[in-house]
Amino acid sequence: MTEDDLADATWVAGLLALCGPTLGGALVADEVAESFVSSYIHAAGPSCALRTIPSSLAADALTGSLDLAATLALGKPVQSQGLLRSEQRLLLRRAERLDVACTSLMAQALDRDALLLIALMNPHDPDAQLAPKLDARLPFRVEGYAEPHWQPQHITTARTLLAAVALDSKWVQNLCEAALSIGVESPRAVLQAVAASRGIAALRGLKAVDESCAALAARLVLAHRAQHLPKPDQEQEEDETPPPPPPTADGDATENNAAPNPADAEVILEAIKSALPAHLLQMATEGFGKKAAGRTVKSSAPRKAGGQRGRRIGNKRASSLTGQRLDIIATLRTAAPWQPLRRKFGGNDRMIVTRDDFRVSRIKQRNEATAIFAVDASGSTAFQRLAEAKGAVETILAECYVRRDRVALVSFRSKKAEVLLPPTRSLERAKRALAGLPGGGGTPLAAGLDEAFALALQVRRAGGNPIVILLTDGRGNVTREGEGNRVKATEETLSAAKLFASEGFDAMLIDVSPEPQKTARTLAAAMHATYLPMPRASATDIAQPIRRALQVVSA
Amino acid sequence: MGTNKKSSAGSDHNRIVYSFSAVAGQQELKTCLVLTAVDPTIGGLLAMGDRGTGKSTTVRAFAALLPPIKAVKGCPYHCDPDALQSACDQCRSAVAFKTETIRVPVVDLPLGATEDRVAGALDLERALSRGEKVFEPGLLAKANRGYLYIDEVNLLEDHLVDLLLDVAASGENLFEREGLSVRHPARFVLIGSGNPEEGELRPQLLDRFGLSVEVKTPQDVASWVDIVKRRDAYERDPQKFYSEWEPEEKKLRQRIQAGRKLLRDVVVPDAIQESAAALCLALKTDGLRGQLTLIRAARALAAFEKQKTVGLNHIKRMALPALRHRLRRNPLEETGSAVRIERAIQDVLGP
Repeated sequence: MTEDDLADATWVAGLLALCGPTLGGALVADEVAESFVSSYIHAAGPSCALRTIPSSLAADALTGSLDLAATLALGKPVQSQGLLRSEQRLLLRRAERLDVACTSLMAQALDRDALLLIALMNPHDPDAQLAPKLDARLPFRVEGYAEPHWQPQHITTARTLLAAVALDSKWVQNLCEAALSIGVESPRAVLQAVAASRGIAALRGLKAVDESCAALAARLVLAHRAQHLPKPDQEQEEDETPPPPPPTADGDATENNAAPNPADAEVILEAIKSALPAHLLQMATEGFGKKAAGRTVKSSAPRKAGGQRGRRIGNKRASSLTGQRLDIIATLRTAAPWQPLRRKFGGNDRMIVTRDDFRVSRIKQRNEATAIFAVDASGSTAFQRLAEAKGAVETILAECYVRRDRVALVSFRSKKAEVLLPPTRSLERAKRALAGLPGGGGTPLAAGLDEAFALALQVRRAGGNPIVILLTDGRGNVTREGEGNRVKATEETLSAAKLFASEGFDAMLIDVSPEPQKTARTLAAAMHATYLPMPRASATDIAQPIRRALQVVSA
Repeated sequence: MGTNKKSSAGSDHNRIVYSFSAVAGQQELKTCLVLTAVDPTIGGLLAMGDRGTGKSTTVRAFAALLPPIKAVKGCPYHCDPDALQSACDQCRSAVAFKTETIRVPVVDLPLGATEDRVAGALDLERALSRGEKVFEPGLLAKANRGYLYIDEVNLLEDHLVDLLLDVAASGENLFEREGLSVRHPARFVLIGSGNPEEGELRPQLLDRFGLSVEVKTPQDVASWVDIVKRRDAYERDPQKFYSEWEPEEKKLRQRIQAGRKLLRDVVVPDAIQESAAALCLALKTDGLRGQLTLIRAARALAAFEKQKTVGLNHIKRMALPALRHRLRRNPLEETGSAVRIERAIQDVLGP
């Protein structure tokens, strides 16, 4: 097999084996993890083996701490070594569940080039989002299978070359241009691409980065960070110019400060295009200008019961100490009465504390409330109440801003429901989503309920407390499939409402029709929601009861 | 738990840090950082903006730029041997001590750090093995006389932010817990950064930061090429990079030191005080803190620029970073703070 036919994943495995922590690591899809890891080990050799860690690990495991059990058993302090004290190569499963403390520590370790992190995730789970901090620091995405191609001798040879690999400044220029044209967020990605291109050259046995190295680096590092397709004018140029010349393999790197050759830039763009994420192409055909979905969604790490943060409300016996704070005074107090007895057997004058004495602090975490507004923006509501609904969301939002609650916005109209605003505390995003809330069309109430339900589930899974506030007149006339059929639509709505009630979410239905409607009241009953008819509601009137509900939820 | 020793593994002790002068762009952030060194009483600095703009690089580079400080050897708070009135109890009562020269400390506060880790805790090791009640200093102690940097400060637990701001304002950490009562100096400049798209800081915390800057990723190829080339050069050969930039670093260092010396003699004329007050009034900033910070920042800027009198231009230039985060906000107000401040400058202070 020649190097030109190698799969991207194989290249990544080789590069990480060669550069180790200086390149950071990769985000790898679960299903190809095994092939990737074996390809990596094949190249790096057993001395660079990966250490598997679960995402449930406590920050202590990374920083190290006093090993209490061992300390007590031996009667002298025993420190458990923190993983990140020395350079590490880690394999992290279910990376999206890593808690915020560990994320932060790992990001610091990556910054000082002391960590090679292979993060595993299921790319098909829409809720699974790697924390942005780590995402930005891992240059590669691996979704294909890797072959065991590179061998330790390749790597050793490449390593001797690596330090001396030259890089013509035109490649830096071209990589920057390509990155900007596809909307890459930060120059950090280009730096990673530059480092990768050097690694690729070294693996190929070249003394300087050439076109093919730069193109491959762009594909591996930049393509998956694309926010949009390359700008049209550049595409046009491409059509006019002949296909790029075949890569030249001589490594004659003279410092070239002349204007960069446009053909070079195209090689890079072309390479990127071949690996653009699928959703971008889809967006292009649909004409969306949105950013990649869910970029700012927070990690779905669940709150651990008895976490370490929050207010202390007492203490309890500890079955195990992982990640919990020992309440030292309570522990000593528990141990004290036993001392005379224990000394008879243990026989020295130090305090004898056993595992049974351990007490840990009980921590009360304030549960974050998330108000999910499901707004009926259909024609029947739009003209009368949409402005008021917007006003209410704004008022609540201003309050959530102070109380640290979050707000999400689902709207349904015409044929479908959509999440206009995923749970956020950001005023800026909310402002934008609200401004863009359109009105008119039929009432796909069932679809709206489904969407709110899904969002509420997601919030609960992430450890929050959802409360759904449905603003509608309760008269659905569009089915889930988008047909205008009032009878079927009503049926579907009621079944959606029952499903909703079965999860026991807190909910509130605000009847926005001019006169209170029986349909709305029935729907509220089916959802187990509080029913609030608001024939003349103003924004502040709507906001009042919601405020009270939020206070209860987050208490 | 007893983890503060370990975090030193994360410091840049043996590594050559990126040079501050080599940080491309980010002029406002750089100026504000320099001013916090000229006059630390300005208070902390908040840098909000895009991810991956090199905020942490800039902060770390800045601490490395500052002239090294003299400290009591072995003191966990690295007390200043020349200013014992503000030293910890031990140093104050010590009869004799050795001194050492250290770099200005920069402490990276990891998100999710526990209160124990930040404020300190009972030293479990000593408590359990020897039955002694001893305080084990936390990150606040480490940051004394230096910088405490918190990335994603907007995601930090509220009670921790409160604690940090209290300590930053008072300059000492009062520890009253687990049967211990400890008071130690913790004078540091708090630097927070974050991305507003991920959540915002509560307004009541916002105005506790002295200055605030908005950090943006440049969108032109030339700046990107600059950033990448410099950073690449640094990563390839840190030693060479260091010697290339050191002359400029030295110049800046001397300017900061000169600014510190001059600061005491810089005069703020009454007319300038009045203009600052008028500006704050026009913008309806809450309380006096904004005005005070504005004057301090303008004075530091004048000192840094070797001028003995604060002029209107200093006020104008510092108005944005000193007031941007103090405007009373209608949460869905369309006009950005920057525009409102510039308009007010025009109206009140003239073009």
